[in-house]
Amino acid sequence: MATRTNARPTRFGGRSRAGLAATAGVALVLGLTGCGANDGTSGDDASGSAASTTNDTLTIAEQNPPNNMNPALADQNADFIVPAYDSLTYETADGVIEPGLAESWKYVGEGNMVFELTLRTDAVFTDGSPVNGAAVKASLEYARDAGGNNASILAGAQITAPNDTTVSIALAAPNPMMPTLLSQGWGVGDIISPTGLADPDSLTTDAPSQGAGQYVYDPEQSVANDHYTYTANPDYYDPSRQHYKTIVIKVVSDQQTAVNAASTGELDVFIGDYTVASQAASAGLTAVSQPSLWLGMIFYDRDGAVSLPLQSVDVRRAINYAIDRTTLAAALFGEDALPAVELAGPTSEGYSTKAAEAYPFDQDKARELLAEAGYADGFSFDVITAGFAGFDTVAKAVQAQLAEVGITMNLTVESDGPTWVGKIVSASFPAGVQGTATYPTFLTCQQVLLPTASKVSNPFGSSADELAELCQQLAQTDADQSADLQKEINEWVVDNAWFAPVAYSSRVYFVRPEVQGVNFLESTGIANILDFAPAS
Amino acid sequence: MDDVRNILTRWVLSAIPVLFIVSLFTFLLTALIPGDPGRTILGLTADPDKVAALDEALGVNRPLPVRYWDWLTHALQGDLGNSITSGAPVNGALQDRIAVTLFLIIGAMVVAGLVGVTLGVVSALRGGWLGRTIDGVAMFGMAIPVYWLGLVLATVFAVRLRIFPAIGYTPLTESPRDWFLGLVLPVMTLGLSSAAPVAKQTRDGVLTQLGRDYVRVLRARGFNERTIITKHVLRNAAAPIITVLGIVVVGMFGGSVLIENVFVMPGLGGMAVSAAAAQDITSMQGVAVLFTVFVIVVNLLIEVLYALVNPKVRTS
Repeated sequence: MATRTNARPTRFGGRSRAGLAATAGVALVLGLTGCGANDGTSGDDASGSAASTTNDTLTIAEQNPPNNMNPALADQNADFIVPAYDSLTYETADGVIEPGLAESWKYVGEGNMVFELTLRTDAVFTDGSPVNGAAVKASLEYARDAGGNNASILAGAQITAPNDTTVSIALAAPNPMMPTLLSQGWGVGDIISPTGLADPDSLTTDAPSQGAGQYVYDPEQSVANDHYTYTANPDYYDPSRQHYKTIVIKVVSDQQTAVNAASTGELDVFIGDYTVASQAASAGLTAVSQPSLWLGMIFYDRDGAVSLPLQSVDVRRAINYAIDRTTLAAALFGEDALPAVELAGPTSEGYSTKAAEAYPFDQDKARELLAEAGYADGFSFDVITAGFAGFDTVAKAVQAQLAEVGITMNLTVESDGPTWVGKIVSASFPAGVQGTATYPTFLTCQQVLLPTASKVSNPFGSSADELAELCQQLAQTDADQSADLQKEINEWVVDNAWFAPVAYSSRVYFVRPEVQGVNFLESTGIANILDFAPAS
Repeated sequence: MDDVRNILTRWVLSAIPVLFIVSLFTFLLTALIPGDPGRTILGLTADPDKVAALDEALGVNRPLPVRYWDWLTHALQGDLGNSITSGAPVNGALQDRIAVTLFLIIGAMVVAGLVGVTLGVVSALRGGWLGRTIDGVAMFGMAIPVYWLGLVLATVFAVRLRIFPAIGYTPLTESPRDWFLGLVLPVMTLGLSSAAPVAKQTRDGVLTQLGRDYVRVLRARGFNERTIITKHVLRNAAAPIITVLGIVVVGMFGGSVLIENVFVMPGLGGMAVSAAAAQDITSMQGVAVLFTVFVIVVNLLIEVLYALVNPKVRTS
């Protein structure tokens, strides 16, 4: 490319040396670029500036870094854990549970109280030690006691390893979902080696991972909060499942930046939302999504301890009728968004089409119910929500709609996560607007509905005998025979208006054509990155 | 040389209280952020008893003066502690990131200086519509959000033209070519957005000098214009230009936070953002101390340069 310098004499006389220097500079830049830095071929992507797309390296972008690199303590950041820590079982995109570190399993006796696994004999940890009964027992006990989000799965469980290949879990309460809950992404089934358990505080971004996974976390090629590099484990027992030599997970908080990087091949997959869908489509990316949580109101105070009106099921139903879910869902999450009436996701076994049709938008019906309950002039109540993840946006939209039927929502928006949680669990707010995962129904019972559920979902510990009985029945029923019971539970919850969901929120994966296998797991609603593979 | 030595001595002595005040201020501000590290580590819905136990183990329930004294005594021995959230040593995390930010700042400083001075000189010498245009561009440049400029440059030069990468950073030791290419867009973004005040000051300074009697005398004595501008006018206008450049460079540390986010660079700015979000006091302290050292060094260099070009300062 020719560069024009000073072609006519200047005050300085003759051609400018500065102009010649500029010409040389441009030539240097062009020479170094080779007229194209992003030629779509892969290099070592550990540091992240070269293009990534080949069979060698998979580069994924997440919006947030992991809260922890310890499988037992990691929050919702399964993507940072799963590559390095194999789980006992393995959930496929079809919802089938396949062998992982355990090659078979069964419930012993009746009532889903004792769960027994038979381990494979060819798996080893990255330090070379075998994945045997003692190691698995120690890892499960650590996960039970470590206090992470999913520790409750093994709460009160007694774990034994009678021999090298057998592990038995005697549960404190019936649980029909152990095969699923010990799969990748739930944390407790991601087995940590004895070396790692000897010093769990060492499971940081500064040290190699201590699992038996398909990949090994490489701290030398990683920078905390920026990018995390995983290299294929040469000792993995099934190399055919390792689709890439390297996986790099970058933290890219800005979606437009992620779109730019994906369009140049520097990212293969990024996780975002519908706001960049059109830009991503223009860049040749495919959007793949599935509802993974519902956003809406939880009536914490169903017994009316703080807000007497909420004790009335008619009042709670009136609130449901007063919300125009279809309009709000489209306005908040785009035209393809799904309104939500129940807690089960649309693709789950417990999803009830009958429940989904319950509360069509009807302000007259809402006023009628309020009048029947003795609140013809309306009432006011306090609501807590968070100033992130769109919760406050949903809350304000609901607030406006309830005002039209005479209900005043006194909204408190808390922007700090821990403080928000603290206010919920203090049981001082009768209701809240938040997002909740579209769990399988058994987990919804345990985590959301029962008096023993998480305080974030049930701070008042409210209960109902009929519901408790249904949940107990579900716990003792084989998982593959419980579809009708799951639907019955969801219909009960909707009929009694314990919640006022508004819309499902989807985790959207934007994928380059060079990658396939982006399929969602039914239990978690997220895609399993170990299934991602080069497109054939 | 005595003057430079005096400047150095004065700055070293004044750096100590500055570092102490900044570290204390940062500590207090971070400690006042609502929330607790234990819940950040275990997750929002973790068992409250477990969260409380972890907070106790992390020592975050100790009185603030005790916590600060603990940090200070270790910092004076070179140990900046461990990240509260990741457990990794802060020293190591800073080492991983310091080069990225330094290359970004130094490169941007060079761009801001070269572009700003060039535009300022051209604007002063040519005047007329060109001078007014450059003035307008400079004002526009000062108003442009650096974040927006970064995204625009990435869209044009990375996405459309495929000349430079859109994100990432390659260490110099790994690939000098990729290192350079990865720095071009971030450096240009930060540098161009900072060139405007330099251009403005250069134009004003050159115009002022051109109106001085000594310039008329030099012209009358037959000196050519290039010599007058480069050897006399610029030299006399340099002092305030250097001062503005120093202010601009200090401001670049704040701008680097945004640039590192746009271009996904593992620098100190990104570390500061994630540490603040996680209420990771030790990491925040480490970044704050390092940034303060940088600012002190930059101001020191500016003062030394200022003294070198302005004899009145040396003799005062």
